[in-house]
Amino acid sequence: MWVYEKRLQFPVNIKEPNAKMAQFIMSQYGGPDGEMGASMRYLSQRYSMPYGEQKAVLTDIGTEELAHLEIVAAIVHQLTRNLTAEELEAQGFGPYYIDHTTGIWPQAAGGVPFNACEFQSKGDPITDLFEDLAAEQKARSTYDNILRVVTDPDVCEPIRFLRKREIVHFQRFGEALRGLQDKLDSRNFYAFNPSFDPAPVMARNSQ
Amino acid sequence: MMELYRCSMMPGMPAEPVRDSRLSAQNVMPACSTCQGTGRIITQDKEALMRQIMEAGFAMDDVILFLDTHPENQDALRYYKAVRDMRDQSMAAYENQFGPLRYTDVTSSSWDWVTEKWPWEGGC
Repeated sequence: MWVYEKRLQFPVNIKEPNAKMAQFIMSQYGGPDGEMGASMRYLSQRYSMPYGEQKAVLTDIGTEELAHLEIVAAIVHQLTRNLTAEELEAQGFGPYYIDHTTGIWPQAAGGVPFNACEFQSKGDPITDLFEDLAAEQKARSTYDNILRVVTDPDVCEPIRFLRKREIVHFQRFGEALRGLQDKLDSRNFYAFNPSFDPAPVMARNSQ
Repeated sequence: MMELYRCSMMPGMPAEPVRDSRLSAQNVMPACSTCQGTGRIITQDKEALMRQIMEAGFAMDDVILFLDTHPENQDALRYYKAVRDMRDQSMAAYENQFGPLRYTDVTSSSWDWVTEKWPWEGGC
């Protein structure tokens, strides 16, 4: 069960609209390494995790990603506020404007719509946690790319915050993976699915 | 004319069911089976407490939608406050005995957020 809090996790107060930047940043809403895919990935993967630590970290990071989704949406919304159709078009926002006006819709910077194939839920905790580590790094790289082209400090500050959270999440997923491996047979981490293959088979295979 | 409020014995509830001609059958609120008409938590049983949380919680989920589109409706606001109090009390009673339901409510000397059963495992 979820409950909404009527606040952003990090404040967003952008004074100067910039639809070109909005087009870039919206990739972290519904792009291949965006917050929507992140949240759906972690919240979907929880069910095949064998231990409480992994269930908790996926629940709590998956929840925090929803708050990040809201921050990215707030940035895109504020960057496209109070612009005319002519201004939107001149700033490269024309194709998006035609389909969505300035509404928030999940797509990549290049216009590719959000797709569940942006993430995997494999039903194997080691496989899934490795994917989660990669996902956090890919999101951090995307925020790095955004920070190279954004100059407005009002936009940079929340983006820097989101980037830092990717690093923290990477650390926590690393600990979650290590904690899981500590409970498995060290001779045989990767040859079976600890959430699916029965334990006696695991023991025989590892000998 | 649909009956909006069934559990009229909750604290702050009107004595008689409130009728509102604007409501459809979907707006009928569930009766609260666990307060047994007393408006108080009467159980320390885990399953019964969770049932009370789910009933009061759902009543709140539902009435807040009604309030979103009828923000001036004083009867609904009173009902919201009553079911919120019921939900808060039953959640506090549950968490006091059986562990946290929200990560903001951990009181134990250890982080029992990770050790209690998860809802998809038939926990809470």
